[in-house]
Amino acid sequence: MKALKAAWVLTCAFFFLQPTVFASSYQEDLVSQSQKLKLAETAAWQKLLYYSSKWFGRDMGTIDSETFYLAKDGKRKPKAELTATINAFFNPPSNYKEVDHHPICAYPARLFWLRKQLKIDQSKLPKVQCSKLKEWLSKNKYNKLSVIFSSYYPDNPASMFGHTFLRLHQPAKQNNSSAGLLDQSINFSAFPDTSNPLLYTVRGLAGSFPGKYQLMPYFMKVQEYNNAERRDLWQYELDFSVEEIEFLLLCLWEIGSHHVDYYYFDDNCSAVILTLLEAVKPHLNLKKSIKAWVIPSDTLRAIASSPGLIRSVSIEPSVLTKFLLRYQALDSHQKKLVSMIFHQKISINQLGEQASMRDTARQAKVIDTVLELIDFEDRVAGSSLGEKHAALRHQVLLVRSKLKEKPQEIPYFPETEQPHLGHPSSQLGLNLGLNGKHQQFAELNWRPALHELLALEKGYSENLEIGFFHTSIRYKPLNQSVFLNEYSLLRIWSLPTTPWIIKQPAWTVDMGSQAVRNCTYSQSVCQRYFVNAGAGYTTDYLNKSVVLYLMLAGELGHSKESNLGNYIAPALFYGLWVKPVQNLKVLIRSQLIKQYGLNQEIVDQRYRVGLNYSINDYSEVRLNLQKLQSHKDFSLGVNYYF
Amino acid sequence: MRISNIMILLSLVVSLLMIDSAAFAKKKKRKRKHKQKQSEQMTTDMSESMGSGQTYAYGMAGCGLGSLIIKQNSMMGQVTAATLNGTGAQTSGISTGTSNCRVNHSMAQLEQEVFITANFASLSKDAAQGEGQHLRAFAEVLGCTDQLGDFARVSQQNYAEIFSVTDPKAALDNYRGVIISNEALSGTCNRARI
Repeated sequence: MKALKAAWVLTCAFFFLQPTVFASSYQEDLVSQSQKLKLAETAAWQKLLYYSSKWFGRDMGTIDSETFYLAKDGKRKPKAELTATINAFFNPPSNYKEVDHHPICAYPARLFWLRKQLKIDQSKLPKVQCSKLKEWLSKNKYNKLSVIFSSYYPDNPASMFGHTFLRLHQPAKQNNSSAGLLDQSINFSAFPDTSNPLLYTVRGLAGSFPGKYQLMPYFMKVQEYNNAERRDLWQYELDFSVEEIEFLLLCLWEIGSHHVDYYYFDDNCSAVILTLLEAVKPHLNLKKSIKAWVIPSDTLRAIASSPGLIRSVSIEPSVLTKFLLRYQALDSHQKKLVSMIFHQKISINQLGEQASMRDTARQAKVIDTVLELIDFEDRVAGSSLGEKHAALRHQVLLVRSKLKEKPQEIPYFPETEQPHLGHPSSQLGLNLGLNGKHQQFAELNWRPALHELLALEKGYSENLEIGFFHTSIRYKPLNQSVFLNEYSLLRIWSLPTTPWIIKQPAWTVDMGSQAVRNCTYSQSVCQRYFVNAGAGYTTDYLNKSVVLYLMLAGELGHSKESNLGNYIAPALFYGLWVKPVQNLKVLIRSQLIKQYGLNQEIVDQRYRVGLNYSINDYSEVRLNLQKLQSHKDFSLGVNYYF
Repeated sequence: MRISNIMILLSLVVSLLMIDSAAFAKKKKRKRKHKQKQSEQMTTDMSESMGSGQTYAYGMAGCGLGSLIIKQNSMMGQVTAATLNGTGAQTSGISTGTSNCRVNHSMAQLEQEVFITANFASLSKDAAQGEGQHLRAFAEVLGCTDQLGDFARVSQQNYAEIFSVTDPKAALDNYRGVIISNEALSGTCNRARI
């Protein structure tokens, strides 16, 4: 009896002294159970760890920090990572200098998910107080989630295709339903360590900057995009429950201190945000329709094509949009007063003395327009109160504060401009045509991004063409030749039609090569390489359906034509753009150019006429006529967007 | 796909030579550790978790934010953010006083400073107009949510006094002074007294 008792005590002591024995067997149970359930093969696990099969169908983790994947080969092996994760949860807390770095605290999303799948007994896990995580979660309570798209911005190559980020909405407080500026935004962006634009681009494309998530108050985004950069913010509220948003926060916590190498074209802000959404809702397959390069607006179309994922769409207008709305609501006398006050031809204090301005509501209308104008012109944002017009702004605000009038509410929702409604960004086209000598040709066009002035405007910025990598290959059956007819690395046309009071310059940049025919040697086709740029103004008529532009321009190039060689060329670009109805457009672009080569000079009158009829969002018929030197082309073709 | 990146890269190098380099706002160089050594050392301080377009300077005392200048064309959409919290282990830089802030600043004080610094221009306009989303948000930051109407009215009436200065922090002091001395608001705006 005594011996039995002793043995019992010993056994108990044995187990008490070695609690890890229990744990390890429980651990092993969990591991084998996870293998039985094939959890590592589930979409949920693979998306939670951001595996992607883009590398020839092989799983590959997209997170590039060495510490994110716990198994040695975890970046490549979801199963090994799963086992390592389960085991890591049982690591003794004493192994960690700070308890908050224990895997239970550092990988709460995996723990949350595995606990549900394996019914893990909480009491058998090491006791760890994740105080930092708890504090963070207690401060971050949200009930809605949106994707925000900031519109195309040609002024900066890094954001000409737009940008996306997430917004976490705080629950509305009583009586104050719209303190929405205090919401948080989730932004994924590169953390460059250079300010050299060239290095920045090269390294940005090569993925040598770390990309990281950042939480930032939403008001920062409003200041940056709406005010400093004058871009509209489009908001797509997503169908995420409060629980899903909580899980998203856990995912964010997990990934927050790690990085993804930022690639300008694929692992960019938009792509990574989709992976985060998929981690929370693994049944979503947003990335399937995304190509090798990720254009932010394409991700919106991917989200929109997932049924029921978008609850609503709204817009936060930019300072430019707000000015235009207020300005358009004024009569011509009021418009004149806005201009006079802005140019300080009359003092703001004299406004009330104007015969038609006795009414304070009218004064407020004019003043509010002036204020938007100042904020637009000076890019007033943050705590900068303007540069050129700071003193005027202060005076105007002082006068405004004495008027007990609410600013006029102007409802604004440009239905047709919702960016997800635009045509997809890639274009493939086939043209058949005749050249000036009545020889036939066929032409294949490809352009990965983004939008042409001739294409359907819906969903894109008005009057802005951004062409990237446009390639056109021509086949001539006569001599069975195939050659590169045209290539454009980057082509931007910005033809803003804003009213004269804030007239923005029209400008263009184009760089690439074009086939020419008057070749020095016996070849029938040779190339002209060029870069050109121009700046000028537009005027518009008939409610913007007719636009004329004129630009002073210059071109640098190298051409094999007529022994020209390297050349420099002043030029005049001018043209006419007619849009009688939404899906029919005519664009005539003309260039009067004088090329100065080393040995000779060539004057040329080039033109390019396009007539476009958009059949639907995905296809269009186009008629082209162009002239370069003495060579003329005529073609008819179809373009398809995908 | 990385190969396509490299091709695009080469061509873009050429193209970038042409693009006006003024489009890139000058950036303060920011040092960044390339690799995080161990999960043990994940904690980074706030200065590191903030964006590259950093253009504000910490004031002389405590964590005064000075003024926040948001540059146009900030690269990759980065702005300076006096973030109230970061993500992951980088959190709580402010709340635990690991950034330049000294702990004698309360959370409420910090939130108010951050808000008014980041939104100074917009807030001044809303205040003069007696309405607007910046005014509503600021009411919440000051704890005046229950009396939004009064808050807006008082802001407009006292515009000249509050915004007689161009330093956001001084304006914050003025703002709080106005609220505390206002009968209608002094009782409710519980975060205005610091």
